[in-house]
Amino acid sequence: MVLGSIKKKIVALSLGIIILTTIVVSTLVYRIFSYHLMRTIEDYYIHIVVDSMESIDEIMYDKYKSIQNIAADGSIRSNAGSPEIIGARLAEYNLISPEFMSLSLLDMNRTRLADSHNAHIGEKEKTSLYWERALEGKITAGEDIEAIESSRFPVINFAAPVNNERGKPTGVVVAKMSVKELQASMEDMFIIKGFMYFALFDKEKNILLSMAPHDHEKMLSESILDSVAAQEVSKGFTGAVIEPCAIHGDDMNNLSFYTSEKGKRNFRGNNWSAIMSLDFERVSVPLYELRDKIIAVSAVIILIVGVVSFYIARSLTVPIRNLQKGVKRIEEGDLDYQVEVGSKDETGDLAASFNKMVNTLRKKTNDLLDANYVLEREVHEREKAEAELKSYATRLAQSNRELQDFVKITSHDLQEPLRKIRAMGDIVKSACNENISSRGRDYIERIQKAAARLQTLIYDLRIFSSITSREKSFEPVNLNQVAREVITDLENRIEEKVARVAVKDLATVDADPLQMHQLLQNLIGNAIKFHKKSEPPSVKVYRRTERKSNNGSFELIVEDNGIGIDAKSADRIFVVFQRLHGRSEYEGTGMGLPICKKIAERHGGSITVKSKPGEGSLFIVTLPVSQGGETGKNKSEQTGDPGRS
Amino acid sequence: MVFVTGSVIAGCESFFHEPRNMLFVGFDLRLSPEEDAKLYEPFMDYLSKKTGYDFRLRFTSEYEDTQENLGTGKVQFAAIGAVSYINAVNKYGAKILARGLNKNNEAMYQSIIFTRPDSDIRTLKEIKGRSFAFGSEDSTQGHLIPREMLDDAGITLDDLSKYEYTGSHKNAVDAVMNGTFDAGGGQDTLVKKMAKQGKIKIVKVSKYYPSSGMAANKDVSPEIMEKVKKALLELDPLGRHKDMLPGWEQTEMPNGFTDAKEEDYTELREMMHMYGFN
Repeated sequence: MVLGSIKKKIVALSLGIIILTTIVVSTLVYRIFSYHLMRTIEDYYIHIVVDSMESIDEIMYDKYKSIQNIAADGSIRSNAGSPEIIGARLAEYNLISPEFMSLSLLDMNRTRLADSHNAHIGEKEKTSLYWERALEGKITAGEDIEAIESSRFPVINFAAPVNNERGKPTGVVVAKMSVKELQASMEDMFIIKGFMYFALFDKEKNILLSMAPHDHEKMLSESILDSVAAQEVSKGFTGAVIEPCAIHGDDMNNLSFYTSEKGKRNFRGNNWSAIMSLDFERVSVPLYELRDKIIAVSAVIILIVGVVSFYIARSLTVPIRNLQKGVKRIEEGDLDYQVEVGSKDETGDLAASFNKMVNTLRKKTNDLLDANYVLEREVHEREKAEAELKSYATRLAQSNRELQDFVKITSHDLQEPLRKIRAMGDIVKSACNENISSRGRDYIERIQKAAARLQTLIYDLRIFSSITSREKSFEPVNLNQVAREVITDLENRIEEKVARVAVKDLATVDADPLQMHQLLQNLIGNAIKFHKKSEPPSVKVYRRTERKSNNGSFELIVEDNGIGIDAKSADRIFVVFQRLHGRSEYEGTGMGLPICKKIAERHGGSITVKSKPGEGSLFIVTLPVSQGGETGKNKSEQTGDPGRS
Repeated sequence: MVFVTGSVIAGCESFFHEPRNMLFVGFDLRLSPEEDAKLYEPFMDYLSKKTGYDFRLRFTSEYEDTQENLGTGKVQFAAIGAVSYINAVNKYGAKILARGLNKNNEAMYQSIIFTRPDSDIRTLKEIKGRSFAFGSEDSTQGHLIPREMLDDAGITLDDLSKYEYTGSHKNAVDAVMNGTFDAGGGQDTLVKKMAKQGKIKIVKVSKYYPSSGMAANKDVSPEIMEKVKKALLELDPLGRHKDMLPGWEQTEMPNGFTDAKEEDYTELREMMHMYGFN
């Protein structure tokens, strides 16, 4: 699992770093400390050995001086007194130097003249090294060592020649000292931890003294002569070395410290060597303790770091896992889920942010649901309204159709009785001409006029109602031509009124030609009709100069010098049956301008008027030049006009 | 992990696996063993590092003398004054390796005859009939040169009311300071230092003599002797090795060492003969 691996990675990384660091640091610490520890061990033990050797030097020097002094003693030199007196003198010296086993005076024949213990007087001593040296006039101190059967310690012979006042040798003073005397100052070694043995040997590698805490003394002291320490010390070195050594078959390491004897002042010494060996295992206990401590501290550090990093990793991964759980729950749609905000760190912030995000998400989702509900309601209502509208439109279209049919039928059916009324009127007038008074004639004419008016009215109504229902499609219509046809149609009226009608440069537009004819006929007709009594009508039909803003529209102007209309009445003139003047003044059905308006609107245009009473009128018909691909189609269908009649 | 750490650090136990032979260098005690060790231990480290041998400090105790320790081989090397050196050559065949360089980079030193600040002694001649403290009997600066200076002023040992070999320069200075002796002779550096502190008054400064040096025991192998000599000549206590040797300027060789030859000591040898030093 991914989260598991993050935890593992953090733990592994921190452990890796700490293990590496610990190894490097502990190695360094160990190396530095162990070096100093070893130096301290070395300094400590080498001083013991050197001091021991110096104390041997001290003892040997002391005995050297003693034997020299005894040989120089006046009473002994003069050889004056009896052997007893000399023996007593020697005994006195023996008291001062109790280390000597005995002090004797030999004559030149090696015969013992006197002795500190008065023993063996008169006996002849065997020849030896000290005797030969004495004959050469030399003092012997350490050069002559003899083994004695009765003691396991060898005996060191000290000897000095005795000369009389004239410098002539008269005898030899001999003192014997057990090597054991040298051991006394070295016994402290037994308390040294891991002490194995101490060995003192001369330059011929004869063991003079050896000490060991166990019974393997002899074995050790013999093997020591072949050791590296023995080789080094024979070169005159003082130092230390570790070397393997076997005791009772056990392999072990011996740390040996060695030095050689140097003598003191005028006593030149015998170049003896000393080796002290220690069990390295015992000596290096502090080293092992140090190592163990470092390892223990390292292990504790690593353990602590491991545990801490585990908890840190867990504290990091738990919130992530919680977040993951949260994401899953939200994915499943549970927007009410909240992640636990545990810590106050970045992961806590993340959890808090996550909860905030979820809250926002929940709020937005709810808002969206509400909006959706409202929208659905609106759609539903609109659909309902549309359905109602549709049904209403259907009913309206039905009703319109019925109405148009009615108008068609009635206008047709009404024409017949009206024509009959008029015809009957004519017949009555001609057939009963004499029988009708002028008053009756007037009545009949009035009836006929009313009938004619009704006919016109019905005609106009039919036209008005048919405008929307014309099935004829739009086509390019040259308005100049239409205008000329209209003038031709109105020729009688023009002549009657002595009117002037000028047509100038009209356009060709997409339109219904018959309706265009109707439009111009009504407008020009009106212009002639509503003229001032004072002057003959003058009508101008022209196009208004195109302006940038008229979007492909064409403005047809019909201008007259007629009676004009006041501004208040301007709107009323386009309403059906609205008449501004009495029938007696100007005849008409009041349908002309409403028809014009309807035609203009059916073509997607409009009609307005600018006029003032007495100043003529200016009718502006705006028509689209092109019906924009609609040519050939009925505009009413396009604009959704209900059905046709 | 424990195994790895254990095996890595186990390497240190090889400390004694090769014989660690020590070479002892003897110094006369100047102040106290602790303070002197502070001065000289870094020098031992320098020599050990430079030569690969294990150098150890060994101060000459009260009952020993440096020339004897060097002669018998208790120490393999020693910082030694001219008189001691000449004696060691005569008695034990010691070898001179290098001579110390003073502050002026000269391989020379002087002795100074001094008195108490309130003393009426102003010239050497006025010492006649007064008491006099020498340093060690074997000392060049503490005995031989002051003897020569007194002799030049016409004063022999018999002309002094009393005299004593106090054992060290420091003791001679102390003996004069505490009034036991009227005048004394000793090492230039120490006397100048004490005079600066106003504890004593300088009567006369000697001419220059070849300074103390480093000598070797005759049994030291020529190879070791050569390496040590090289290390001594390369010592640069005022430059490269300044940080390594704190307080080195207080020693008799503040500027390190220069090559030394037996002939450098001819004049002193004659003086010693004259005053019966041998």
